[in-house]
Amino acid sequence: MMVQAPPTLVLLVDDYPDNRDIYVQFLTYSGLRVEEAENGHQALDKAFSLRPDVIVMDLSLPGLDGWEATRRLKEDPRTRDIPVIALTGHALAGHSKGAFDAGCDAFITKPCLPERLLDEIRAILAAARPRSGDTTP
Amino acid sequence: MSILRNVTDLQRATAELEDNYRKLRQTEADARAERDRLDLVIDSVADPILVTDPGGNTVMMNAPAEHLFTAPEVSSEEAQRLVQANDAHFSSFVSNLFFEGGTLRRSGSISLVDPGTGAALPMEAISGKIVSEHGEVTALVTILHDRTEELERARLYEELKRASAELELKVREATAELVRQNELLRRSHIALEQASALKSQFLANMSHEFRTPLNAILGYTSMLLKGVSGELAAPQRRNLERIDSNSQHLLSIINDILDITRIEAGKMPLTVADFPMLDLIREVLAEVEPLIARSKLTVTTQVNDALPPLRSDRQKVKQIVINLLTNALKFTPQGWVTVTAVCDPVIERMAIAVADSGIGISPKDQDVIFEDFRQADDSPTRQYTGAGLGLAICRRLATMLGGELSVRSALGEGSTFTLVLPRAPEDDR
Repeated sequence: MMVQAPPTLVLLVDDYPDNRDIYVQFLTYSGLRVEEAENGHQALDKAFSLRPDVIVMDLSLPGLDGWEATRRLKEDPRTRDIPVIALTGHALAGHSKGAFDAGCDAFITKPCLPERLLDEIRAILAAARPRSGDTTP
Repeated sequence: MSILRNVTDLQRATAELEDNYRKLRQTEADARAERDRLDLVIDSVADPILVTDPGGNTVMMNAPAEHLFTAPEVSSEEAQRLVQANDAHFSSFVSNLFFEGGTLRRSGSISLVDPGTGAALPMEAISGKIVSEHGEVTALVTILHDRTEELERARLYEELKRASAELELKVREATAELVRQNELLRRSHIALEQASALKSQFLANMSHEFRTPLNAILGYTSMLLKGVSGELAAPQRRNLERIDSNSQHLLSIINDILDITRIEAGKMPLTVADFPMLDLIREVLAEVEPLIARSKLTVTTQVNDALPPLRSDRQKVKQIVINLLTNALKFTPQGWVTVTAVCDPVIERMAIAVADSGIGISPKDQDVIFEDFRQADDSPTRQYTGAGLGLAICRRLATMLGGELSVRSALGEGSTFTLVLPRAPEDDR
């Protein structure tokens, strides 16, 4: 029996309002639901309560940064299986390694066009599909 | 008979007398000859020699001694006075010796004066006593030796020693100064390095800060062009495309600056792997295909099929080749561009050359083009990416890869840029 899957829910974590605005606009326009968080603590709260399908995490955040937030998400059984796409303005070597060490599933360097982010979200969801529970037998 | 005998005796006595006289004369002659020989010998000695009897009288002297102790008949009063003075000095020296018992030999110093010139003669006197069979001192032989030269040598030696000590002091001072300068240089070197590191950090931070708003500009522009905010009229689309291409240009400049700062900060890691050069060149050609199509140039490649794989950082080699190729396309109004790759199996080096029939580079500009933020022509006619950093980055990357980037060109006769790389890293063969 085919079940109509609800629209994918993306949790977008970025402290720069305009970047959030672009991605929210474009992802919504592309048929996804988007929730926003502007710092690490907010990201954890929303991730635990909303259980999004994917989390887009800017690594440089005020207070609790993206690396630490990702580490806590990956340690918690409620959010452990949610894929995290790391997003950073730092193209420096070592940043990507740090992100993967923290448990990120993908790594994107800014500037990142909204369509590229969408491609990345679709690719990671395709790979993680069995987790979401709406598998087609 | 007896008279005759007397006469005979007389004759004999006379003969005997004559014989003795002859012998005496002979002996006398011998003695004179002996004496002459002795005179000759002692005269031939350059040092004055005097023989003095116990009474203090000089019984014999050679020519050099005569010069000091006798005044010629016709000589100045001054000379006579000096001779007397010499004589007094010598007599005093000798009389002391006669009264001294014991030692047969003695030496000492006396100061004489050359009566001819008035020059001081510091003399060393060596005296020996001549003793008879009965142990009496019969004479004293004295040899005088002029020490002027010796003293002069000693003086020169002292001077030399002083000069040497002075020199040593100067050398020590100069060395100390050098150490001080070295320390200053070391400190200013550290200060410079710190300033340079700060500059790199500043550039890296600025570039990062630039990219955040630029990300928003590129994002909004892209969304508008995609029709997220509704359909666009043709003039709006055209203008948005201008915004987009300018933003892309700005981004490539910022990325170039980031590359430079990363290389300078040693934060550009290498990822080394084997890869076929032909593939890489094909990939580069495919990526710049839009530029090639627009240029209407004949672009060819010459790559030997038997080319061994290159062991290097593929992404960085590609970055260099793309840069050289886009430069060639940019600066070639008509004609051709050729990409060649050859490998020297002996020295294990691969050369990738990008040649063009373009505007060329004058000899004076051939170093300038590799400097940061410089172009041979600084006019704002650039069509493609870059802030005059492209070749500066390429050369740095080539150095990082253990290779080098060079140019051969003449104004109006095209250019050939050659990237020479080791077939594999030094520590990897």
